[in-house]
Amino acid sequence: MGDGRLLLSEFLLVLRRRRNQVLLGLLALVTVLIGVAVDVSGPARDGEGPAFLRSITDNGLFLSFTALVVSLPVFLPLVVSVVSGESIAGEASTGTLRYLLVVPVDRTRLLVVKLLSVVLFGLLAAVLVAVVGAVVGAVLFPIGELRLLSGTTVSYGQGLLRLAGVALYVAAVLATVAALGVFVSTLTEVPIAAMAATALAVVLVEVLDAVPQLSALHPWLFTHDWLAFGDLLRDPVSVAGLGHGLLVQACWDAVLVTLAWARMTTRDVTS
Amino acid sequence: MMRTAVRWTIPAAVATAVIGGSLAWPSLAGAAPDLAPTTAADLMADVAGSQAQALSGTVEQTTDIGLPQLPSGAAGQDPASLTALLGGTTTARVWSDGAERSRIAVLGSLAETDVVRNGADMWTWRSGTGTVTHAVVPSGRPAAAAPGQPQLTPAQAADQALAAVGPTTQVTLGSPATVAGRQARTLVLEPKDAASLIGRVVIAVDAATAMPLQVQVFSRGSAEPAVQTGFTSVSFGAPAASEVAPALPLGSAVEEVTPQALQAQAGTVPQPTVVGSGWTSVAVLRAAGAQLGSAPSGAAGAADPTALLKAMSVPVSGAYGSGRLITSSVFSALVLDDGRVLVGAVPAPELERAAMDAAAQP
Repeated sequence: MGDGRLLLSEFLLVLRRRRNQVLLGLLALVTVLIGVAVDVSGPARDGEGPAFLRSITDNGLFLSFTALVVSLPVFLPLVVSVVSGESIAGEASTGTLRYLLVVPVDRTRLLVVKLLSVVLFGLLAAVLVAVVGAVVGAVLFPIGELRLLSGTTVSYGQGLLRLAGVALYVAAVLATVAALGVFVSTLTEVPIAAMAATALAVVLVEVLDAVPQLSALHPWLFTHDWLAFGDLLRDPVSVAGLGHGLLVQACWDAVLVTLAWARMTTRDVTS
Repeated sequence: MMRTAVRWTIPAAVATAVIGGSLAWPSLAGAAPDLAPTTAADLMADVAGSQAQALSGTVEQTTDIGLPQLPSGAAGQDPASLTALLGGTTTARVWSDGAERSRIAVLGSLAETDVVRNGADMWTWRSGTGTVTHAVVPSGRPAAAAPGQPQLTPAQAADQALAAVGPTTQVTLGSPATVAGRQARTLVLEPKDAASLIGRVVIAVDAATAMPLQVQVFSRGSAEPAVQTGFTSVSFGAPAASEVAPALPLGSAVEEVTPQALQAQAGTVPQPTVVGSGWTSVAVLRAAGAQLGSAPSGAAGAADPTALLKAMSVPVSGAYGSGRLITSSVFSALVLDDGRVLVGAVPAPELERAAMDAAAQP
């Protein structure tokens, strides 16, 4: 019970930060801009622009999928890097970590609350892009039956359900970035360093994923299966890719969270 | 309070478990089964006599034949394009009712190409362009054997390999294997002619149904397959109608491909002349090289053939003329400026010799 209240107050604290609000606003803005651009310039030609861009004029719901495809490689991980890098290092830099720990708050519990609030923020960011995309898409473009990657159609309601699944998958992959960011954040007392290091690490992994000579390594990189959410848009839904993606994320999560825990519970808190 | 060093052993233990688990998993899943003995001849007869099965499953094709890496596989790209199949891994989901109806869905990153077959009717859906093409193909011909379509299913690949078995091939029984979680016997086909680039072809045959589950092509002296196509999961039984016959958008936008057009697509390519025999035979196509150069570029999802050829080949010249040479670990191809194209599973010098053969002159 106390844990839930602690988590809620921590999450609200994260939400009240002006910087985090601006980041969420920019995410929404990107989504709106894609919608307006397509509305003004007309449908994209075949093979032009990101996946799903061509389909937006057929069904506004594709604006959500396009926006998620566009923001997943850089924008969403960057937002989560900023919030997670701040989590522990931010308290340390302002000297409040010491006071937090003077109050009898278990270090493990503090770490879990910090991590979960970042994971929740990632979920909020993914859902925000999906919802803004769906709303703007419904205003600017026709809605109705959704044509899947397999060529068959499903009802708009079923489409919304699949969009929810995609948003949850995106939130799950962002949780790995959150775990990475919180671990890096336990290593330093300089929040900006933790943010930059986390964002750079994500980009580095994405670069490794793009080097064909390292293809043996690719299935184990946490960014490799990020676009597997497309499997939710097949008929019938393909679970193998999604399952592998979630398994790899879970493995990385387990390693990163235990690393963060080991660091958090053994470090000397001097400021 | 645990000691500092003890706490750091926990993430180390988790990392070790993750890495160890991921390394050990394939060997655990692929343990060799214990099967009643048989002979290679019996097994070949079983395959030839096996019935088409109603099934649904996932097929993976991996190609690593040493061609230069081609740009492909970007999100939203046609997953069944030529560049995707010449290198890397292609995954497809397959459904078949064992008779008239079948569906092959080639999966790409945020893209899918479906080939749906019902008797003589064949529809192809490409998510990248949102288009459906319809063609009437001679019935009895497997869905994926249509021009421009990949040879994806293991059964088709195995049929091709077994049809080529003749006096130039030594067929032996390999050790049993587990493929897609099923017990399988293996047939090993080895070319007797040492000039062939192909070292051996290994076919894994399901012990229960005699259906080929996996085909591996090894280049000479290599322990890793150059081309492998096989089921990664399969379940026998009739698939749901919505799976094997999906409701594609069959409105006015369907592009009709007439049999004439199909023939034109397959190439007004004349019948090839074959120089040599068996595994080392070289196919000579006349006037195909000129077509390659003038083929329409910018077709949906496909790379420009001329640029593709340039990226894969090196210029060569000799007594036979001049042109461009493509070498890989399992085949070589010579595209000559006089329009001839020579292809064979032989090293480049053999091709050049074949180009000077009397039967191969333009």
